[in-house]
Amino acid sequence: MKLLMLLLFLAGIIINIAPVYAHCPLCTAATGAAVAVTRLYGIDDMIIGSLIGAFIISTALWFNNVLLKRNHRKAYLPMQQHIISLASFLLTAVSFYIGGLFNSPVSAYLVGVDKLFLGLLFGTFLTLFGFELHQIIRKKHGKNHLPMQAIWIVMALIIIFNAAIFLMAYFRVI
Amino acid sequence: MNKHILSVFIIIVLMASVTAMTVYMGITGKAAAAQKYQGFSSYEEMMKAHHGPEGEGCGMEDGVSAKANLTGEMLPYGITLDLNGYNQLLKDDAEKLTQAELPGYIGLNILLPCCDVATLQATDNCQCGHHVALSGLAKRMLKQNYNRTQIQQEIDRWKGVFYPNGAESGAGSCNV
Repeated sequence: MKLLMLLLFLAGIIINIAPVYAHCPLCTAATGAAVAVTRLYGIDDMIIGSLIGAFIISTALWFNNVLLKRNHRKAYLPMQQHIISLASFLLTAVSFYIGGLFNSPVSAYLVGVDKLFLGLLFGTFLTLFGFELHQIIRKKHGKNHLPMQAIWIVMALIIIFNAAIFLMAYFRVI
Repeated sequence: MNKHILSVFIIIVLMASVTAMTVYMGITGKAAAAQKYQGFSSYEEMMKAHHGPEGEGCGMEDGVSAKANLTGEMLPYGITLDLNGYNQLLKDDAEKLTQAELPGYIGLNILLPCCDVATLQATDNCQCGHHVALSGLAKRMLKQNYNRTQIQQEIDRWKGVFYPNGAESGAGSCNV
């Protein structure tokens, strides 16, 4: 019954969304502004993309926690976290595409793919990998080695990735 | 319906959508990048191909254009082939043409690699430095009664000054 309610609720949201905006148009506009500002300062699109990717997954995990709390720590569906993460990524990427953030006249490309999209992909997978790594460490040792260990791991991965991108862009390797 | 089957089905659909989007972005991105940079992977690479190995911008102050082609030679229409001559051409663009002179001006080929503007028009011409200079050159020569063929030849000569490795096509945008 609860699953049916959830599916009806999600279907209701999908039906009521305006066709042009698959994701919050305000978020898309805000991201557009953020990308424009970072481009103005010469920051590589992959850097801002990876941060947005990390934000997508963090929001998806937070939403998953909200759903778990509502259902007494039980998931509505098996692999619920993965489904929400994938759907979140897809909705964001599609809305960015519709909003004209990809393949725009000022876009930069790496191996023929828009750097903002590539950054989004890397940021998403790095964040997911970071959370998985945290789970593995905790399972193996039975405890966290640091307070807020998951956040530290994800932040470290994102910072290392962005530092590498920054250096490669600085020395014109990419 | 079994919840596990439903979850696996949703995940497969979502993964397929993400993969499809990545492939689509690759295809459309390659096309957009090729159109934007004439088949080169970046603006810098395109400019290097046109300016030579050292040149990265399209300014006249430095780079290969200035070093290799600005000989300082006095040209028959009263300017020198150097930075002073280039600056004079920029000023010459302020000249007003008469109705009789306009047919000799409109349609002259000014296509350059840094910009997709192809020909001179009566008004609202491109304000890139190179295009302003070429417009000034056309106006200067028209005022000195050169014919259209001679003007086009000189425009092509200055194009070669700006782009020593070739100025056959246009793409992208120019900030100069």
